[in-house]
Amino acid sequence: MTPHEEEDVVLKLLHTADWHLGRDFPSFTEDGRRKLRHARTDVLEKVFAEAERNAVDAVLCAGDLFDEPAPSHDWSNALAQVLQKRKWTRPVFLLPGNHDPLVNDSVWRNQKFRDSLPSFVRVVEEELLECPLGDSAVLYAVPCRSKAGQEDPTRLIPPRVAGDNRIRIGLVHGSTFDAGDWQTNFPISRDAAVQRGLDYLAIGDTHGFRYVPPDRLIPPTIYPGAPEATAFDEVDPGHVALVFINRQRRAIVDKRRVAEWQWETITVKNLASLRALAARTDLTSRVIRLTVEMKLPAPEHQEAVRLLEELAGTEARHAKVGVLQLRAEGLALDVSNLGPQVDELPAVLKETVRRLQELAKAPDTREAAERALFHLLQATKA
Amino acid sequence: MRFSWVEVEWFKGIRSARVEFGPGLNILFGPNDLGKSTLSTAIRAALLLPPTSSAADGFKSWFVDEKATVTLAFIDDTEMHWRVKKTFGGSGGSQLWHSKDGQTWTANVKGREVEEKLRTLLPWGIRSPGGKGAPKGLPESFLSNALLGEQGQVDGLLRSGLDGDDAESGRLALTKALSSLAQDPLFKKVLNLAQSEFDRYFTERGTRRGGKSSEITKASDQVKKLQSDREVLQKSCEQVETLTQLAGRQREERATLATRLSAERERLTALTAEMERARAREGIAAMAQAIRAELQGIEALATRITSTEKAIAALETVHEASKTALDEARKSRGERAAAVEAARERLRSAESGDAVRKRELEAAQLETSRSKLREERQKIDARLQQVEQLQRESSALDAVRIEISKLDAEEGQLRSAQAVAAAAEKTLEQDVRLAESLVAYGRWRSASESAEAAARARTASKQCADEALKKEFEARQHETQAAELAQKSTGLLAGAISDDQFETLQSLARQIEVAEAALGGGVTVSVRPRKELRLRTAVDGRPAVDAGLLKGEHILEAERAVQLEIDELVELEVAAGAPEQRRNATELKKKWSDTASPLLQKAGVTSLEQLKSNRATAKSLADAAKDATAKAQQAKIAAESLRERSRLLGGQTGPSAEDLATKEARIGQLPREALAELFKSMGSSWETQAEDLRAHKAEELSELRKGRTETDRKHAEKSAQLAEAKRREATAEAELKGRRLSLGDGDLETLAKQLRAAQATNTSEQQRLEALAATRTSEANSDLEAARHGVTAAEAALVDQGNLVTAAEAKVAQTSHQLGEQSGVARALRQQLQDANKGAVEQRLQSVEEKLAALGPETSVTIQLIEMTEAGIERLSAEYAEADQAYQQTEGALALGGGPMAAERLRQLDEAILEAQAREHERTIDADAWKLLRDTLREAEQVESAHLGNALAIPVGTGFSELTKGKYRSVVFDPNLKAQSVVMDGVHESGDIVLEALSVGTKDQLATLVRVAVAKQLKSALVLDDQLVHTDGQRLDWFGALLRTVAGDCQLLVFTCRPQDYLRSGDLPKEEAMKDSGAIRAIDLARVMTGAPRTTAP
Repeated sequence: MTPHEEEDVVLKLLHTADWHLGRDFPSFTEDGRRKLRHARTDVLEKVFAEAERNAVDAVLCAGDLFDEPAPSHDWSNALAQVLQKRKWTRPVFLLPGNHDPLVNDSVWRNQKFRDSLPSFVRVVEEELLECPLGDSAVLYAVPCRSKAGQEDPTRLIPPRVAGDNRIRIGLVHGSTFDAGDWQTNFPISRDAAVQRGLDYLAIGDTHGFRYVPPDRLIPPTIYPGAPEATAFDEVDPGHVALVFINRQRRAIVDKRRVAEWQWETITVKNLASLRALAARTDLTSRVIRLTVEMKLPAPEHQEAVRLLEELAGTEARHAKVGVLQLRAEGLALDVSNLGPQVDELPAVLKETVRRLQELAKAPDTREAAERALFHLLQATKA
Repeated sequence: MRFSWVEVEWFKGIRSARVEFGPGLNILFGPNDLGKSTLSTAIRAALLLPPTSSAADGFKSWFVDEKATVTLAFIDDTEMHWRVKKTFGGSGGSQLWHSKDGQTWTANVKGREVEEKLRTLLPWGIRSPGGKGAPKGLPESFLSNALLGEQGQVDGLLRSGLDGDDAESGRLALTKALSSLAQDPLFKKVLNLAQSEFDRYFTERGTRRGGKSSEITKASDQVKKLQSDREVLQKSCEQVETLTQLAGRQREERATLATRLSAERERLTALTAEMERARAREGIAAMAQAIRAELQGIEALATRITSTEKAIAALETVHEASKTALDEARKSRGERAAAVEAARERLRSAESGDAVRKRELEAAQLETSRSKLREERQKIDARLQQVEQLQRESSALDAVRIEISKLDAEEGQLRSAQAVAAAAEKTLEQDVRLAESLVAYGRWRSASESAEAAARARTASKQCADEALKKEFEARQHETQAAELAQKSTGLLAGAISDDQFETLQSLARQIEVAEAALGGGVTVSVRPRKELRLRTAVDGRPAVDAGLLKGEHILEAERAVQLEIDELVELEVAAGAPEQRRNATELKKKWSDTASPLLQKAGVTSLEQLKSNRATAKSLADAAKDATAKAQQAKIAAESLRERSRLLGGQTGPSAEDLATKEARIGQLPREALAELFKSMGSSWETQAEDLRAHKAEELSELRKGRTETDRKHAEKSAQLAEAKRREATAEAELKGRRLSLGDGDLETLAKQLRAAQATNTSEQQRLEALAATRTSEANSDLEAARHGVTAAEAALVDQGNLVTAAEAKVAQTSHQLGEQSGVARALRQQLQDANKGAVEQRLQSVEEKLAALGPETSVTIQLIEMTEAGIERLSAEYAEADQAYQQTEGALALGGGPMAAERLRQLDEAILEAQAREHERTIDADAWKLLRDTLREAEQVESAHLGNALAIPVGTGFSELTKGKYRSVVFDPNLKAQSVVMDGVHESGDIVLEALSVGTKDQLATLVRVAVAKQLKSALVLDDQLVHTDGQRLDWFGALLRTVAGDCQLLVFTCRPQDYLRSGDLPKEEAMKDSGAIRAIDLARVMTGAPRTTAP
């Protein structure tokens, strides 16, 4: 944005969505699940710090703030505490999404939670909220009232009438026909912003930052994505959108990264790659799905096991990787090449090794025999 | 197995005795002849001898005639307590009880079954009593001799082996116990590790552990749980997908119906508009008709005016003619006056006779003609009078017709106004009814929604209450579970040691393992006897065993040390490894004995592994209890929340069914869909709007009705006037018609004219005749007469002419009057015509006709068509409502199902299942690997390791070597554990020769070493009765240390008269019967036995 454009800005907004507080990650280890759950609340500090640093006029939170309608009190308390730290007057709009719709037993109806929210926080409960943002702008927000629906939420926003020159902002949660193999939920027309006479349409649902439609037509419709990723296959998560709107009602969107964690999928097929991975210094803030596919002689195999232990950590040792999802079933021991260690073993153990090597040739017993040899070598290691 | 206590009554020289044993080393001391061996025998008899055996005859009391009774309590390897009581002599008797705690006993078996049970509990190679070939007397076996052997059985132990047993149970037990002795430390380490891991995953029988603590079960359970969750979610997703597809179809169906409905409504609107147009056209057409009638009236008026004007013109002609006739009459009167003068002249000339007669005849003829003319004239006059009367009446009739026409037009206007007002009234009535129905519908709908909301709330309340009950039940279950788990955990940890102590124990165990491993070096001692000699060997610090009488070479192999005692000639000790390491190992073992054993005892366990297992189980139980408590708390909170919700929902009430029915009845027959549409369009202020509409329409209706009453009144008045005029018209027409018939055909005017012409002709003829008569008189009467007559005639003619003048004047006056009358009529008619204002009427007609033209041609729309269309709309509306309801229901179900959320969860679960399956596979493979490793290790060991003899030779040889300070390096046993040889100073002696060569003391020591080794490996109690009596002090010290060490593994009962050989002075009881010092219990038998002289502690 040029200095001239900056001077011309009359409205600044921070647009975020899809916090998914309380989300569980059942495919990870207990420690990993704990870290990933807490990452979702930790990142909120950065989100609100970004709002503060840019002195935005309002914060728009476009739904799916909780992973389910009635999450554990821990997560609603955590959100309340993050908000309570702010001494703000700028409004923060919390919009119920399809994960946390405005249903009777939802967190939004929990009076204790609602009482704990500061006065500058506004939960969107009206069928259509129309709220002025200063003298020259107005916000229209439509909450989700169920987990699924086939009606476009923007249909409730009145179109611009002649003579209305205010900046008009929309805030809804839904899908813009990008849900892949699933039926579209709360479908939002691609040109909803144009149809409704909006200058910026803030939406939530998709976890990656995305312009809708992709040709970046004015006025913009934006998915800011989840501030912390929730899965390996998400494209460009970890951001918020800073929105600057000038006197001509033109909106300029600035994508800001807030995520602490970065998700990676890695496959190693040789020891050198594994060594290189273990030597990386940025692993503490990584969520890594590591697949190992290699067959190694005993000494190298032992080194690979050691390196994997370093990456994953043990009871006595911190893990190098922040959160590791290890798929090491592809790490095989080359039983025909067990190294000099076997030569030093007593006869009875040599006999044991020989027998296990034979068993490793049979498909039925291969895996168990290889693993048994591995245990034997580990137990007799000097 | 270990002994708890023994009670003896009337057993040989013992009157009674009760001894409670410690779990470790028990030194039972007393002087000679106190009955120590008797007590030992009693223990042996209790375990081995059937009470009816003849061998029990010698157990009879020396003092009284009582049957000897022994009661012995012991604890088996599974920590089950057993108590056996035998009464010897005569019929004898025996009974066995069992107990979990040694306090509360339950009878198990008695009589003969006691022996069988004992053989099972103590698998020592002794067959059950009875049957052919059963041994008589006290049964013996290698193990019974090794563990309970009497004094003097030393040689027997070294010379006999397992091949002398009459059952295989002893061999099996020893094979199991001794197999670990022959192992390489590294091998042992791996095997122990494999066994330990195997035990984690499998039961002793090799089946996979399935308890909650099993990692595989945990992993498998997790997979199952995730798969179950996935299955549920998958079903949900499938339902959602089905519902989504259904919703799509229903939405399309609804849209189609909506389009059709909209088209039908538009059609209805068009038809209704067409119908309205037709009605309006009808009204206007009626109006046009009335105006046309009015115009016709006006045209009739104009016609009458024309006819009146014609009549006036005719009258004027008549009048002019009359005036001409009057002028002629007046001229004729002048002429006749002149004629009178001429006649009077002629009279005077003609006053002669002939002339008088002729004149009289001619006068009579003329008079006849005149008479006829007069008659004719009378008839013409009468007829003319009739015609004129008819003309007057006809004019009056025309006036009546004009009046009728006017009245008819007015009545038509009023009738049209009535029709328009009626249509408007009907419309307004419909509007009022619609507004009333709308109000009623709104109220019914509000009530209905309230009722539905209340019903839903009640259903939800009940569901919440049911849910709350479930949650409360869950909470109670979790609480109960938590309490049970906590109790179990507490039970397992009762008397437990601290974490620090536990760590110390583990550390110490590891140190001992390391120290023992460090001693490994390997020693082979070959003993080659030059003559037969008895050899005792001890290997690797284990108790010495008697290798028997050696004849040939005897090789001893040891890891760390071999001790040999050859006869009583020489003791050899061969040791490997550094002395410091040996000392270190001994110290560590001592430390273990001093510190670990009491702690393990305190914890109620016999081994560190057992302690580890207990602690792990307790922790697992405590964690499970915490989980259960947390779940209970969560369930309580959930139940409370549900209760509150149920209460709130249950409190909602709605209107009654009667109220609803009443409200619904008020809606009337109007289509609900139309009402719903209107209701929806009014939004939230429907009630005010609907009430306003109803009031407004009602007011309009009231005003309309007032106006309509006035119109009706005027219409009735006009109708009455019209009827009266028509009556008059009819009457006049009837009369006119009757009289008209008598006048024949033709126009009255023409007739009148003809009559009047006839009158004139008649008059002229009369006048000519009169003149002619006068002429004739005048001529007939000659001059006089004719003259006179002429005079008279002339005078008469003059009079007549005067009359004619008068008549003409009258006629002129009459026609003048008639003209005046007709002119008046014409003026009135013209005034009427002017009043009627034909131009305005024509303008009105044009305007109305334009309106009519603008409304288009007549319509084909009928009420039936509109009703059919309305019925169609009603059907479509019902179909739409049904389709909409179905769609809303599906949408509602979809909203609950979660749609993409469920799919997202499914993806998460799929990933989690993959990971869990990988973990399960990993655990399974790991378990299988450990099992395979353990089994393969054992198989390899079977191939590689030596027989039982070699296994026993390790501890025995080591101990023997150590005991004899390396004199004897090792002891060789055959596979049946018969001592074969000892290896002494590189000489390998074998066979009985070697054993024979050993001194009695050394053989005793070797046998003791064997017995201790066997007891240690079997973890069984060992009874040593006056052993080592031929052993010097140094070796006794060594044995003392050995027994203290071994006491950590098994229970030892040492009967001795020299307690100082085993105990330090401080360990001896002074006033009390027994004293515990660590794992050692010193028992003064003199204090626990009666029937024997009291002794004092040495």
